[in-house]
Amino acid sequence: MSDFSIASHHNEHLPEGGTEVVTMLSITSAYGATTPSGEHSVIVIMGDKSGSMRTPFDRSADEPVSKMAAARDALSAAIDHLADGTEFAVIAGNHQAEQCYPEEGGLVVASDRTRAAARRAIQLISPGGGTAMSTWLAAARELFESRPDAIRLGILVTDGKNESEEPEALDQELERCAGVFQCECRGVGTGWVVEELRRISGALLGGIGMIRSSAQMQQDFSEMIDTAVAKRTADVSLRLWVPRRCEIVDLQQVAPVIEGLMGLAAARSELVTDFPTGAWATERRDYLVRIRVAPGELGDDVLAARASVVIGDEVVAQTMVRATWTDDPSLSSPIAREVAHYTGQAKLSLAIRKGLAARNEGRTDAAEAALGAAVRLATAADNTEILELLERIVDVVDAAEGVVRLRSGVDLGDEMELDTKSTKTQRVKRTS
Amino acid sequence: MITCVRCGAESDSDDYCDQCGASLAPIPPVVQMPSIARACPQCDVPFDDGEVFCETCGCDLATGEVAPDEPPERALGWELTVGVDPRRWRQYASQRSNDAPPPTPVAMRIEEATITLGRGAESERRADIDLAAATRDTGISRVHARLEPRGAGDGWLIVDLDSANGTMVNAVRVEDAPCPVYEGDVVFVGMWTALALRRS
Repeated sequence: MSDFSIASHHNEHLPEGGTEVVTMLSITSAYGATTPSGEHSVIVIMGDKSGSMRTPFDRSADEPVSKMAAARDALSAAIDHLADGTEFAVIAGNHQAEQCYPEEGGLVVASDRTRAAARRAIQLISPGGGTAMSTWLAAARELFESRPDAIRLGILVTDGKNESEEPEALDQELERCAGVFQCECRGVGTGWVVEELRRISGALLGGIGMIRSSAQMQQDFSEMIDTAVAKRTADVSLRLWVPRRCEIVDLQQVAPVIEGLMGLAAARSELVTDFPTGAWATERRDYLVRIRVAPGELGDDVLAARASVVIGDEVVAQTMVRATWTDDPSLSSPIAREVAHYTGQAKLSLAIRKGLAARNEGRTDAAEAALGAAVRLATAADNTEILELLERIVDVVDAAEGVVRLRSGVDLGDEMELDTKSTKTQRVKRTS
Repeated sequence: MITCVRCGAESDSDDYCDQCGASLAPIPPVVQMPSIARACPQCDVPFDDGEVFCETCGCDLATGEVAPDEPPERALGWELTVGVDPRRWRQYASQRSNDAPPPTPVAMRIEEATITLGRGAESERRADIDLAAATRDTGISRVHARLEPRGAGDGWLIVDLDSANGTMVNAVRVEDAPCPVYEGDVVFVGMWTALALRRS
């Protein structure tokens, strides 16, 4: 049905006394164009209908259309991308959740008739009220809980911050939702909080994105549905076995976006830990793993980890992370190209987020140092997308040395876009 | 199931131990056996294992006496060295309660006869040679293996007597059939015991 593979890229030679093994694990999955999925998808859309949706994207811009009007059109268009047979529902949320379609509650199977009915219901959404996202998530969770064997994907779109409830309410609901469904998050305009959506997408194995115009919204919503519909296998996990006296120090997904996974670790036995990765389409994801191993003798050949792709409880692909000790520095000192690449990308991401945080706290020196480092790293990595975004926040004095000055009058949307995209990584280039 | 030589656990996987991660590939022998004088006592010219008379001056390498005109009867005595493989000793360190240095190898003369090797002197099923007395290796079975001469000074065969932890000649595990042991081979038994045979 599916064809998963996993490969480890690392330098297995450790120096004498070395105890850290760092590897890049690359997982790919491939589905033939005609292979039946075997599992069906359930997609629940959570759309914001709070009062602020009445306002346009950007008061200063010359786009008078309200976010709500744009969202109605974009959602209607996106509904057409739901493949026949997919079960779906639309929830409209403000300080409480209300099921928009099907009105009687539950899920419906996508067909020409139900898609048309959903479009009509979406056109009738009228904005008002506050924002309490935990209620939206809870409503979605109840729908997903009735389909434990399906591929369960949520889409959450908001334009504001979660102001109608205590932060703890959201955290508690996220705990209940973890493992029940995945959630892709989108922030519309500039009134939402990047960190808040990142908390949701991080806990629910989703991505985060920013929508700044109605044209972008139209395209992005449809792409989100297409991506969701393409998912073919639910509940895939990365399983790591490490020997006794060894420890997984860190595991993060590094491509397509950086996402720490240590918080999602589920111990299966004393030596085996599973990390959920959600549903997969034909795609590739890369992970950076740090393992502390017990020190070995020169020449020892040990396994630092066995990394597997697991569906349910079935291992569908496996690779070994070996380690050996040498007193030859020419063997032990090189860092694997893939590891070096993503370590650099992770540093870039961290520098951007630290820099933006320092800037918001008025710590100019710290902000310029961190954002300067980000410019230097992005220049070295030839990451033009991030560089362009950085240049809207800072004036670059010397890109190679990382000398920058904070700009004044920075557009809030530019700052949020940089923050949102800071975790997006460039794939390590293949050597041909 | 394979017994890991490092941690002693039974491993389901056969490439690396599924408990401690150590390689389960046979460890190449690194044991250093004590060597006797390697130069002729008369003329100081080095000689190889197995030589009885000096090729340069013709003296008896064991006694230093010049050989008689007629070749003597071929020496049929053998020396069995019972030692410790330092690497396995180290790998099993976690199983022992102390960091004691490995016991010194013990060399003993053996006659060409069938000889059983094992652990313990008091047991009813007692082997001819108590290897554990020399190496403190509890991984050796009571009656672990048997040495059989191939005859006419042509070396030995070793037979594993269904021991718990098996017998290896160099890097190869001895299965059901008797396995020849030549001078220069190293036989591994138990956790860290290494045996070598040489003419004496």
